[in-house]
Amino acid sequence: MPSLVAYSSPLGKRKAKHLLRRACFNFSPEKIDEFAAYTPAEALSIMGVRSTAKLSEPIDPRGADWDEKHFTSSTRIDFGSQTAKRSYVAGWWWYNAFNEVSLEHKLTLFLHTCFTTSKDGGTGTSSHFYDHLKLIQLYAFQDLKTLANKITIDNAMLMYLDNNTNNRWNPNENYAREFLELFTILKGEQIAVGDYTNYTEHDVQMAAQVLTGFKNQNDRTIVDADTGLPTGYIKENHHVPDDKTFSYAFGGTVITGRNTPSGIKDEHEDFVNMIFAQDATAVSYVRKLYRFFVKSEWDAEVETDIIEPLAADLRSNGYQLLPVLTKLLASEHFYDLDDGDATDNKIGAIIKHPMQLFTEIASAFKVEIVDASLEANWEEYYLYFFRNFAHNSCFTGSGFVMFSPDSVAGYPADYQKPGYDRQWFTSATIVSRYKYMESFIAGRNLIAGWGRFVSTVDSVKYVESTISDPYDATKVVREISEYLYPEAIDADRIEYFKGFLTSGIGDVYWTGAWGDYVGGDDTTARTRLDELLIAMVNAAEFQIM
Amino acid sequence: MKRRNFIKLGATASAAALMPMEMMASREWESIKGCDFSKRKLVLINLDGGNDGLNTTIPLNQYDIYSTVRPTIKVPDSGLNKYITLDSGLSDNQQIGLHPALTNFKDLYDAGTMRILQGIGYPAQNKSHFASSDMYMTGNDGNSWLNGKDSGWIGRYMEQMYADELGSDYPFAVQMGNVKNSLGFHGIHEHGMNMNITNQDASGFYSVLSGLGGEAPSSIDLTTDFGIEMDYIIETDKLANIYANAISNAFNAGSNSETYPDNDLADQLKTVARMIKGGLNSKIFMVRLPGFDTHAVQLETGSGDILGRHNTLLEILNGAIGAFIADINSLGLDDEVVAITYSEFGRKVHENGNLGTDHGEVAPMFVFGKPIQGGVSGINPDLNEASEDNNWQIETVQYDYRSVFGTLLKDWMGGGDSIVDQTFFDHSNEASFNDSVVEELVQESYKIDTDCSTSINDDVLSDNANLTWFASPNPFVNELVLMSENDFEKGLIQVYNQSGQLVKATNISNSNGKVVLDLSSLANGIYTLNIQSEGMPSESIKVVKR
Repeated sequence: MPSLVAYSSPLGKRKAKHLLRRACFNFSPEKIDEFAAYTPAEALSIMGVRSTAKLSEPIDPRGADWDEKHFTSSTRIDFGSQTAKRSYVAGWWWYNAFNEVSLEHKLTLFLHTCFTTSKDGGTGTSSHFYDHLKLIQLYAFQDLKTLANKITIDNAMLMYLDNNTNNRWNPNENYAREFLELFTILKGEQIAVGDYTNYTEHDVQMAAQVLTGFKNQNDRTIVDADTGLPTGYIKENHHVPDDKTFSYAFGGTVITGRNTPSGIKDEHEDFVNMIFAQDATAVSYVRKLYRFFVKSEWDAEVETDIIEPLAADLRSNGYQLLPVLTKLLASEHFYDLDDGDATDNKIGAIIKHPMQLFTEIASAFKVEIVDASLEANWEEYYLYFFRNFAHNSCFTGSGFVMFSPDSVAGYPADYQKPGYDRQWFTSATIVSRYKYMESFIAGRNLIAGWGRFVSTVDSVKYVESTISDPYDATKVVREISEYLYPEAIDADRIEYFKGFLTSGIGDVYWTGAWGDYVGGDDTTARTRLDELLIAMVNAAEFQIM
Repeated sequence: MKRRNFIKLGATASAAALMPMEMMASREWESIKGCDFSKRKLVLINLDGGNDGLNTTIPLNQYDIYSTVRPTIKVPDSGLNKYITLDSGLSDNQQIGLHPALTNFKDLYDAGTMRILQGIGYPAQNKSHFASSDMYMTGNDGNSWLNGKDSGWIGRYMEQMYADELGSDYPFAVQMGNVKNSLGFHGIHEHGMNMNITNQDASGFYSVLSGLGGEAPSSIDLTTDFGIEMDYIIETDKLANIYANAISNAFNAGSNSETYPDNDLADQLKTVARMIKGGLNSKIFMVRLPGFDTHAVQLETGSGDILGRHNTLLEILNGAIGAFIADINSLGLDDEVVAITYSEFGRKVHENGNLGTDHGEVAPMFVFGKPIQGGVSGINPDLNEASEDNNWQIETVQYDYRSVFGTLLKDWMGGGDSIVDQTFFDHSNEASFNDSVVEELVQESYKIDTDCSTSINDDVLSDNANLTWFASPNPFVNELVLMSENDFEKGLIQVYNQSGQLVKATNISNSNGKVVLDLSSLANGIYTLNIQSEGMPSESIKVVKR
């Protein structure tokens, strides 16, 4: 029976890998060994600490002056090259996610999929998107209900779904519809014309009225005292002041219409409270959480024994995500220990997100990403490595336009039945995926443009610093596979990979090649290892987590 | 829940085991009667986001109402940006003003190679983009999951229609313009029948991809999630390699004869034309133009300038389709290609406050190609239907989208009645879309000879000749009555689906000379009943549930 009982023994390597993959973006051999000794509770208490924001703000390395370089802390927003700047915002976020083991980063990405915006699709300038990202990052460790209140008046969201022009004379339903359908309670089955179980078309119209009168403040001069972040404002004469009566789906709730800025804010809070008082809202968030962190599809037992109890927790704790997620990630269920077979379920059940694949390669093979806080490295990190290689080539080429899904529903892996995460691995994405490792080894962007970057995989150094006995081809392959793959590989598979080292001649060939390296000539060892690592990364075993 | 396993053709299941009897029969018919429609292609053009039909085909008979409900975003009836009068010879309630960007559409209409169908929708319109897009791909109507949920109509059609070619070295369908694999291509089983080449270099696809994934492990444990996902990865990689070869070969052998505009949709259609010219066997192509969700800035100003997002989109569409059809003609492929636009819904009659429109219900479709009968089907939507009470919607559906696609599958692509029924079936009303084909859509001279398609159903059943058992009615809906020429007391009936899986087994006994079998729980399709009764050789009888 699926069980939320906490697993309390040390994780060991297999379960430590599982947790690290699912909960953060750091996957180095050292981190795996370290976490193997922890119990889930110990591991999650380390991960439950906020990001230290190693990198404090994004930088435009080509900015003309101090202001443009520090475009998010500048008081100006009138800069050119906004698309590039938005990618530098993404680069700032990724750098911190890569360098830390906090749950904050995966939760931020998760919240981005819950309250979707598109950074390149109409959210204003890079500075507005930065404020938006900071907002969801802040609430990753706070409560969803307050976030739902704040997000309506977030400048980027106001622009993205046109709610800044939603007014009493001619309401625009766009934001109202998505707020119900995609961001909070979610659409249920259509049980009658215009009735989507959890809400009706009438509720969309009423919600659109509640949401009239919210305006963006383009110059970022209004700061929310709770968050310290720039926000929009309320223009009371654009708001529908009448009472709004919702359908039977919300028990016929009447939201009192108001006509002052603070009254309209209260009215919005009443509206959010009405939605978050529904069981369906809590269930919706937990289902999303389960799909994002555990697996894409589940049965009725999991719904009853895992999803529903967690949804009850979420409601009763005031919609705090962190304790609910922590409980899930510490549970016997998460580690497949709640039935007779501890090997058949969940571990290795998700196809890797492109950013997961990319980031795992970088941390598993100990890529030294240049210190992006140093001015001397700005161009190398932001432009050559992150924007040109990671963001524009690897991620985009594999169907992940970072923070810019092509529709407000988000990325297909998060919502599109029947495949869900399988959408990440299709004929349209695999050429790019297969080129990540080759590029990391070459120090060149082999997906597009051949641009150089310095943060590369050094296969020889990696093996020397990771493998217990590098002279032994079998040990090389086995130990690498133990760090990389969700499950152990069999003898046949080890033989197949070993072939890249032994070159058809035999183990002695590899032993000799490693001896040459120790003696000062790394030519053969490097060629053999480069081939091996590319094969092991492109193997099916590494495409899933 | 176990995830969908990949059916490995030629390995765990052979193509023959999956082949419906219907198709074996129809291939014979092709050779006997010359019913060869194997070169025919269908190009689906997705106008993603909900195209504003009312500003695409303006209802001239109600221009006054139109300009009242759309004071700032109307297409003007005078000046430089005036609509294009489609055809003054049409009856009053069919008088259409085309958006002024659609100059090529006008030319295609005048040449008799474009048909407009008015009021396309489905019974219970869902105003969510994502739900409604899924409906358009699954064959659902908003009323019941029975009408489609996890499989797509294109997938079901391909699975039935081309069953004897499953496992071939080319993809049945090719998708472009969207990294997201369409739900429409998933069959009842997971065959990987389609190829998504969005953003890929068609010419070099195979040479780049070949071998990158390395060798697959020799054994995989399919009882675990890990094994099932690995299997998915391996099979996807394998098929992508095979299909990439077909794509690259066709692309490199093909050519274009016309100049296309420089935009993404035009590039997609240009690639389609070139691959068809190069001999690609794929049957269905899906391309996409996104951005039709015009809640705002549909027009730039409210002064009849028509500029804005909707105009830009229609200009792209007009240019791309004009070039594509011209190219198809120049390449000598005009007897082989039909293209159709579709969109998940139309938009509200009343404009909103942002120079835009919110989600609506019905919208027009455009169908192109020499095999199409030019003209207009249906009448202008009645704008008086829209009121504040119904949130400014036009609700009357003149043509169910499934009738239109079903017509093309039947009259143009050659699917027989039962294949159409297995692709689309209106479970809400127990109605077959064979009974609601749009007769005037395909030119008579291009319609699949009725001998070819109607014979198909008969052929399935003719396989039952010379048996001692007789099933009635066949096709059936819920209950099947079985009778035998011989006396019998009891026996065993096993029901197999087309994948050869046993779906039901039941003991039978003679009751007034017959057996009544309740098969209401089975999905529509063709089944084989294996009947064993005492003292008689076992017999297999084919039945069709619809």
